[in-house]
Amino acid sequence: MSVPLTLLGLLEREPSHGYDLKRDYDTFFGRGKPLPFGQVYSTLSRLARDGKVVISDVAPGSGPDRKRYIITDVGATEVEQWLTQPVEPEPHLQTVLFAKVVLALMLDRPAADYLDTQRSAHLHRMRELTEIKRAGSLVDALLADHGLYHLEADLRWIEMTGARLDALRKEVRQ
Amino acid sequence: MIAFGLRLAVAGGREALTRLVVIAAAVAVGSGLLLTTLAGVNAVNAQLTRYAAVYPNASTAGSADPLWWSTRDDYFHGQQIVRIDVAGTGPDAPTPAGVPSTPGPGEFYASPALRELLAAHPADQLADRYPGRDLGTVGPAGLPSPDTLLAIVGGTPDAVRALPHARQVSNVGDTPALPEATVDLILGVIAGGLLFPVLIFIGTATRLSAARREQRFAAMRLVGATPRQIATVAAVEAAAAAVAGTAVGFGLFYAFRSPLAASRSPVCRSSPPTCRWVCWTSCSWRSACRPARRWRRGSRCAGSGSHRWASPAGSPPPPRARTG
Amino acid sequence: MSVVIEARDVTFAFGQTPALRGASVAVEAGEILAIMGPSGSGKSTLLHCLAGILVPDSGEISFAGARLDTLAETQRSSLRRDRFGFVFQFGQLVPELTAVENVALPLLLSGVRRTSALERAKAWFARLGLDGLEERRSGELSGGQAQRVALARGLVAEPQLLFADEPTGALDSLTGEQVMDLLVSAAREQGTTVILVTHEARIAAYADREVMVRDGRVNAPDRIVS
Repeated sequence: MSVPLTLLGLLEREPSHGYDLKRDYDTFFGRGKPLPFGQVYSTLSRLARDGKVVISDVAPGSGPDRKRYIITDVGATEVEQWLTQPVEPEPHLQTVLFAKVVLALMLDRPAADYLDTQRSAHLHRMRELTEIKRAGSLVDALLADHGLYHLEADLRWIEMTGARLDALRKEVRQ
Repeated sequence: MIAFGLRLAVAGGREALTRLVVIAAAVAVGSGLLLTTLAGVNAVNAQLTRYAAVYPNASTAGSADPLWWSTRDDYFHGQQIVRIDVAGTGPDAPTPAGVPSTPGPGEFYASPALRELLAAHPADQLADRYPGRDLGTVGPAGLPSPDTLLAIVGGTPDAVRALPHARQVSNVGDTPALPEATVDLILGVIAGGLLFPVLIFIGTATRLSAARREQRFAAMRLVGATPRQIATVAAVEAAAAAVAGTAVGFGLFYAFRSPLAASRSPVCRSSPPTCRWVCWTSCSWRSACRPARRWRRGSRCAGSGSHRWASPAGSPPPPRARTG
Repeated sequence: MSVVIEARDVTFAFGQTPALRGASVAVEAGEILAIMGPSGSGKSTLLHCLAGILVPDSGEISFAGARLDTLAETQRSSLRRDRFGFVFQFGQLVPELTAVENVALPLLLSGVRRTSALERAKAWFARLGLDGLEERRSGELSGGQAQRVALARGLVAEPQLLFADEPTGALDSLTGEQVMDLLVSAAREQGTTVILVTHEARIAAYADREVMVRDGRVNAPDRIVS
């Protein structure tokens, strides 16, 4: 799960304070593992350092939450690339896929297309594993099968999600 | 393809054979019933004709020499004996059916059954009713049924004329009891009431295997059987069942014919056995076929899921900071 | 590579229910193509249209450069018999025939003499590990055996194209993969082009390429170059 990219994605909706970002992150992606404030601000300052966000409207007074962050073109390009590129097909990447789908829906991006691209990447990897399975020894075949079954689980999740994008969009955009 | 169709029908395993036997049995029952019933109608007609000949209508047309005729019912130990008194009025007078010549006064003919009865009882109990010379036996042509107790007794014209129901007849025994139209009507009723359920039965027996047959033809179409090849196979299979069924049907007919012909119930007592048999079969067939009519074919509906896929909608770009 | 069979903008409806709404797909010679999609997406209908079993309401099907959808039923039947092979999910074996007769069926229907047809069919039994099952009827075969018999029948006439519609749909995973392994090996050996309809990713992974059918249309993803 990429926290910097997720925060960048959340920023692409609208300029936000660190507190809002943490709240939205926890709502959609935290799931019982809230993001510590310290990590939010350290991540944001790193993003500012790399020129992916800028700070505007420093409100008068003191405290960490005086700053509003705005995404830059560099940051937006990075989010764009991250969303369009399929994740390297490997087991246990549902959470990254999930974050991408939710962000894509929030940002009004073609989430279904991202899922399709991911499906192709998965199937491509599954073909490679199947080839290994057919050509190799039983050990190779069983190892390949292990990967295949996990990828298949991802694919099923992709199918299910793809079929319910409309409902998910309503829920994340209200 | 013909050999292939036969191979499918006859040597297609136990299930295929069972199917063939069931359909053949249905056809056999159908054709057997048809043959037996047609024969039955014919028999009833012949029997009624003979029965009518025992009670002829007065007819004087044509012949100069009519025959005086009187039919009476007589009883012995509860058994009905038909007694016909005849008297020829001249050489041209007709001869009753079943006997070589019209008996003269003091002469008589007796049916085989009556002859047995006469022999079994003392003369003062029965034979005295028929005085005079026994000329012989009344042949089958004069008897409605083989066990009819019947006597044809000769008399003088004057004596017969005085008997109850006496009439003059100029022809005997050659008027069909049922006009052609009646026979047609009976056959029509049989076709509707008896054959139709049988047809439904054959149809049901065929349908029972329809799913399996459809599966087989679909499998054959799939691998490229032409419609003509499928039709040939289907026709060969149907023909095999029909030929086998018809053969068995003829067998059934011949098996049923003798018992039917042997059933000896006089026509005058109640409806003829053939009629009763026809009624019985048509009723039982109708009830047997009732479930078949309730049979309905289910229909399937091909469904297609519809999924809506998110399409990117145009919305204003989010605010963005300018660097540099 | 040359395109051996192609569907262009094909539509088809079962009564009022549309199954295909402008599907296009092209298959190259020797390729194994997986057609994937959820239930009711129209993937089987697309396969039936390609195979000439169903005639599209509109659009074109061309096979080896010639229109297939405009042929008469008899011509399509002979095409199915001589150039195409089929493996379906189930219900494809003629229950009245023995396994070897089932395999020989396409040959018998094209008029090959019975003895030589049965001989050619028998050769497939050893190849697919079906020795000794020649005289069994379909009711006496296990699911995997029946599918292998069906596969043998699909390939016995050495077709250019093999159509497989959920060929492992009724089998457990291991048996299904064995059947797929045999299918792919045999098709590669003969150079047969395979069109495989499946909703299972692990089965589609035996193909060279996949297309997705959704709502009666085909989405062909860009080739992933890695």
